[in-house]
Amino acid sequence: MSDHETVEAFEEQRMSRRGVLVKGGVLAAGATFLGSHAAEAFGATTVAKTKVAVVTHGDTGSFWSVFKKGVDQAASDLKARNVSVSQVYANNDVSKQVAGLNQAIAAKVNVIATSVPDASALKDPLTRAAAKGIEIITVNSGLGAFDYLKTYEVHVGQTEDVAGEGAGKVFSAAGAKNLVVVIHEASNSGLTQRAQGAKKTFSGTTKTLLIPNATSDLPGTQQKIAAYFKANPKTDAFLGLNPDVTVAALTSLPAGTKVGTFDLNPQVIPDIQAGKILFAIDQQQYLQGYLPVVFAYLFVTNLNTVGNGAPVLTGPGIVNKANAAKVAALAKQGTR
Amino acid sequence: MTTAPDTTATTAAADERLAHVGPFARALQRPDTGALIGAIAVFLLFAWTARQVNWAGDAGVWSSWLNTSAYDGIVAVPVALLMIGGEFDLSAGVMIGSSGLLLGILTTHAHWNIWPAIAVVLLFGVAIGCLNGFTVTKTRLPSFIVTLGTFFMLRGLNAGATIKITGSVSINDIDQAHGFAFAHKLFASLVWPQYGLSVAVLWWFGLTAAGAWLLARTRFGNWIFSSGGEPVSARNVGVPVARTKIVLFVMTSTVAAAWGIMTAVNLRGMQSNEGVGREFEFIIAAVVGGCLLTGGYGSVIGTAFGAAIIGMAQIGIISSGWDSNWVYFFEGVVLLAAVMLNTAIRRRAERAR
Repeated sequence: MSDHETVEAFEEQRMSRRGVLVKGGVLAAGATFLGSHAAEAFGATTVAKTKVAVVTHGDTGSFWSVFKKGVDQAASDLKARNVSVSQVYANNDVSKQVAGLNQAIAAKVNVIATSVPDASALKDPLTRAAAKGIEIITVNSGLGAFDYLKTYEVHVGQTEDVAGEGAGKVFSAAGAKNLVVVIHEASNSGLTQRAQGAKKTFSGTTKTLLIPNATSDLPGTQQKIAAYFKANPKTDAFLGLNPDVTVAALTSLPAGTKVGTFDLNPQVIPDIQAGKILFAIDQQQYLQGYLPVVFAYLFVTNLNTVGNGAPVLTGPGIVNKANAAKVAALAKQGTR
Repeated sequence: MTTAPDTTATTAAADERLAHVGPFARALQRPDTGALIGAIAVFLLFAWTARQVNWAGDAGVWSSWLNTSAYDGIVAVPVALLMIGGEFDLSAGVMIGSSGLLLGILTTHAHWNIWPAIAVVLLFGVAIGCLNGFTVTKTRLPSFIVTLGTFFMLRGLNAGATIKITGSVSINDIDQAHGFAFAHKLFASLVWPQYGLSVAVLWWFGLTAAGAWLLARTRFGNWIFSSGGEPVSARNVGVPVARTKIVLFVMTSTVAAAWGIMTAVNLRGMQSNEGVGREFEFIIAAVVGGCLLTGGYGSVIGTAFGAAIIGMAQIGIISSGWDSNWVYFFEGVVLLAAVMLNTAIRRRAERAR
């Protein structure tokens, strides 16, 4: 489990700053919330102090920098509401994350928002936090890992199968008949779930092509993809689960192949604008940083809980030709 | 090489060393013959299992596996020489990513012309080779451990330094650099565009020829064999064993850096994971090609056949339409069979001696 998560985190690191999130939408929601009369009424009474600790296994890479921007924005939006936010990024070091959680418990925070790269390692501190009545929200990874804790509220993230289903729908709508999904790591179950999700909603036939360690041999990957299309000439749609693999594959695909990818790198948005890539699936990690702070505030001040056991999905956000230019501009700000 | 001292044979007629050996038997005794036969066997296997894509006759299919073989075969040349010289370099794979990222930082971040950037990257390769070579020869630690250390250092550098300098772990837009067009023509163009044959294949053939000549026809080639086979005796007869090994390490790192440059120019970008784990493919190509893991024996031509076997296996499995979830398994079976065939042929030939 921890291995898988580390690999995933490493991948996320490689994603670009140009993440993809409909920031306008979130800000609009936030503004409505803050501007409503109900909120004004809250402001008038003595608002309880909300102390939130955001503790993740994240690093300073491009993926988590977008996440952090979301936390920062929520903290500044809610500062006037007596919300204070502390953040720990453990850089894939589980013991550092555990230390961050213990620190949060000692600081008597009201709500902990944490990612779960390794459920067994985080079990002790989170159980202790729950015993002290601290509300727990999981973010990014960890769906279902701690829902047995009595103070567990909700998971905020993207589920792999739902993200895959999003891709399958787009290919169906584009009229594709034969899809190949390239799986670039042999032992990452999240990738298999994405492929299964795509298969579920795609109206044509779906095949998977496993290319182990594709990202460490991109030139060889190009040749293997070319060989696949030669052996399966009916294939008319390609889904890469990693942006580096997708961009490298473009030169190997027959003209007219419909291309989709997971995640963004600096090359993906220009390729979408040029029509070489049809769409990219984005998990909108800005929301994973922003929303838990808002949820924490609503819980502490108004006892609101979200989701009723179901996760709050931050993805799949879909970047295509229609919104690529706007997303590119937002990516420059570091919020996508 | 392994002939026992002959004390009894006094007459020339009774001397087994002078016994007549036919050209066929002599060919079978070469370290690369087994690899050639293995490569032919793998080719014929896929010619049959991938007949629906016309594996044997389609130039596009030939290009696919030749390109893939070249991608392993180029770095496998110095790796084979180093192995014959008795050492390993586990940092050869990650070096591809390091040099590509360095090229990317110099061209896209410092806005250098690509040619001085290439020169600096090659010097970086020389420096890492010196680090490996001097550490191994001075400390007498196994090269397996020393280069494993270099592997981790470079891997950390790839992520850490790149994030520090560029804020991201991948670099794009190397094609914006001055002088890129000619570099692309030289390192990453297609020599036969309608079939997709990469210029890398020509580099592979050229480097293999150069390596084979170096090993078989020069004094340095003899030093490589003796340094790897019997280092103590070699030193006693005046072979500069340490210098030979250092030069081999430098060759390996520099060729890996050159391949990193070629990859970065081909992809027009680089990400920090590139090359990690590839060092084993280079070593496998050398071993399948008849190089002994213990050093002192092997062939550069055989290594090229070894790389061809790996390339054909990787492409052939896909061309044959076999379930790709089993790709590791099939690759293992093909490689094991090729090595067993190779060894069986060589043993037979040596017994016939």
